[in-house]
Amino acid sequence: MTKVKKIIENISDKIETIDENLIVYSKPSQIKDVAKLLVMQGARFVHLTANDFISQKNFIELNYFFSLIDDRINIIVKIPLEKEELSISSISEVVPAVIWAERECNDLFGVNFEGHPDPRRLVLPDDWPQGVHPLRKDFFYSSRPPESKQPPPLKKPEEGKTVIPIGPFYPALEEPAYFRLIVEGEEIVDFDYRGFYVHRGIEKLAESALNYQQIPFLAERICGICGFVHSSAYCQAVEKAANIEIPLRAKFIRSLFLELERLHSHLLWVGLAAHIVGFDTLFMQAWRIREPVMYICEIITGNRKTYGINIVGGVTIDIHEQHLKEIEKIISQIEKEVRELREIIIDDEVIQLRFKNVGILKHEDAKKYCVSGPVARASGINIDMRVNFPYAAYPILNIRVPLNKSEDVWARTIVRLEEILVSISIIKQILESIPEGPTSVKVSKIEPWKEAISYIEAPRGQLFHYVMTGPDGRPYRWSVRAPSYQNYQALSVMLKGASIADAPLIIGSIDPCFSCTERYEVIDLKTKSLNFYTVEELKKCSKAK
Amino acid sequence: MFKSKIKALLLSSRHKKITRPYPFVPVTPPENLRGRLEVDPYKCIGCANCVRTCPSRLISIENYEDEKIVIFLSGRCIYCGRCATACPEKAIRITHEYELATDNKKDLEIVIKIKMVKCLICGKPFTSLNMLNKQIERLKEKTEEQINKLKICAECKRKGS
Repeated sequence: MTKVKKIIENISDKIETIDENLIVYSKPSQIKDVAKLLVMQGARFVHLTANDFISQKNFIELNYFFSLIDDRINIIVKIPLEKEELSISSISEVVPAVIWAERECNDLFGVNFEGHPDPRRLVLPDDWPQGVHPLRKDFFYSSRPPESKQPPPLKKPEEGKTVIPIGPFYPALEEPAYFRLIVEGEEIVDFDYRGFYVHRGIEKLAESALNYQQIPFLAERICGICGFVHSSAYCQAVEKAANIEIPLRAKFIRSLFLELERLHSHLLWVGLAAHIVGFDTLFMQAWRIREPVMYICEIITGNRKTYGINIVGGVTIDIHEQHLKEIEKIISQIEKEVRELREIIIDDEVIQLRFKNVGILKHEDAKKYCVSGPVARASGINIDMRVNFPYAAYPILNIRVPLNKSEDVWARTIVRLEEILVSISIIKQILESIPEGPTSVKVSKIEPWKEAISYIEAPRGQLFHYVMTGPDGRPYRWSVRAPSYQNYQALSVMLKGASIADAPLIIGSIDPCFSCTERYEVIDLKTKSLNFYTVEELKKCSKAK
Repeated sequence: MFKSKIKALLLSSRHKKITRPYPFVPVTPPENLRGRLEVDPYKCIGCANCVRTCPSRLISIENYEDEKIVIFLSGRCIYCGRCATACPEKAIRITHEYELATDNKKDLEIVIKIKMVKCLICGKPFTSLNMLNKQIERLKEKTEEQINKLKICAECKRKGS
């Protein structure tokens, strides 16, 4: 830590060390140098978010989050931007992974990033008026600004190239998302993604209407498959900020459910991957194997998904002896069946032909885009938050990180299958060593203006939550970066040069979380012009008929 | 090639139909299932603890001259059960009922009226009848004088003493 500290010292105003966080205060003009230095030291970009202090101190504070995996240090670079001059140079040349985060900051806080390669809207809807930034504190959470017509922010293909829209309802995963493949013949030359159609303003709602104990339930609803990781990450962040030490039993229960969730999420993915290539027997069998996990979760928590057991200070339920026995029975059965499943996949030539050498993400590119989870591990990057920044009960448990160096969809499949078996071994360890004791502690008042970062290894990769506590019994800022957020940005690399037929599989291979859409793109064959229909126009069309 | 297909065939043939014939055969819900809320109007004291804990903010209390109305807009309920844990009187109970589909959101609403008690001196409503009854029950000596003391609001008590 001292080495990094010394290097950054020259170009920063002040450096603080709080726990494992190194907080670097710097000037807007120096951000590029700071980023360059950090990247040279091997720091990995995590997220960029802002914090609105206009009413108190007349500035917006940018927070760049980096982490040094080997040293277990988080580096937060804090840069104040005066209200009159909300502009800073983009660091996308140095850190390409920042592109989406900068676009999001521009949308939600109105910070201008000079020299950004792609300054289109990312999060805000197309009919949102210019100059209204919803995450600023002067924007009331339930207000609805008037709609304003804007040109849709879609990439225009070059002359002679064709656009193939996949979506707005993504056919293979039966979820809505809008991918635009720009193709030349059979080959994909460029890729565009327009998502965030259901950006629900969860962060804003939490920051302006809910209290600390209500937010875990909202956080759990960020994702339908891996919701528990979000509520755990949020609770951990608040517990860290408020210095609350939760009972060991609660930590074990959290770890247990995190692993059960990874188990069923990966089995779901294996099924979907098989479904995409038309191997429906495997799809059905993978989902059948997954089902007992859902049953046991239902028996223990009352719900198949969105367990609703996390609160700040622990968990609300306790696990009985007979539940533990039942889990043991179920996971031994699953282990046996997953091994069979793995044999079927590995021996199948058709699957090999479809998966091998498809959607290659080279080691350097994976590093450049800071991808995480199975996607990173399939490109040979040894990163796993359970080992790098251990949380919950993981410091005590023994975890093996499966790696693969073949960098393609096949590698991602093998890594995920291995991870299922690793999860099973972790659950066995938890069942053996779960301690007795209380499952939650009472939380008294939480001090304002404390901040904390928490990581969780979600089934899809590294999940990041940042919380700054506030004075009104709720967080002043709560920022969430889901793993798919980084993995999406690497899709353009994976898709370039691939054929159209492989696109659904490559997109599926990162196990994306989708959002749904509100607009359709129609190409008029006679005039070859693009028409855009809004929801209202579509409603009118349907009524007219 | 064929080896893998035969294995897949074996794996799928070993298992018969596993889907359940629901809704023709009812399913027993697990013990911890959190279903429809049930609120006991005779226990509720209108303390608004549930209002503060509800993550979906669906509980509201309206104050009127001689009664409080507690409204649960349960169409928005996420069935987390936090209100039942927060309730000091155990007036909210979580049942196992889960077949709640309806075409009218109003079917799920729960409205409870709590009678308020007026202060003997100033005549302002200050506490709920359920609360007062509870306090009277707790009294050691149930003399008229002691009971009347409870029927005076905090402000008048301060003025009187």
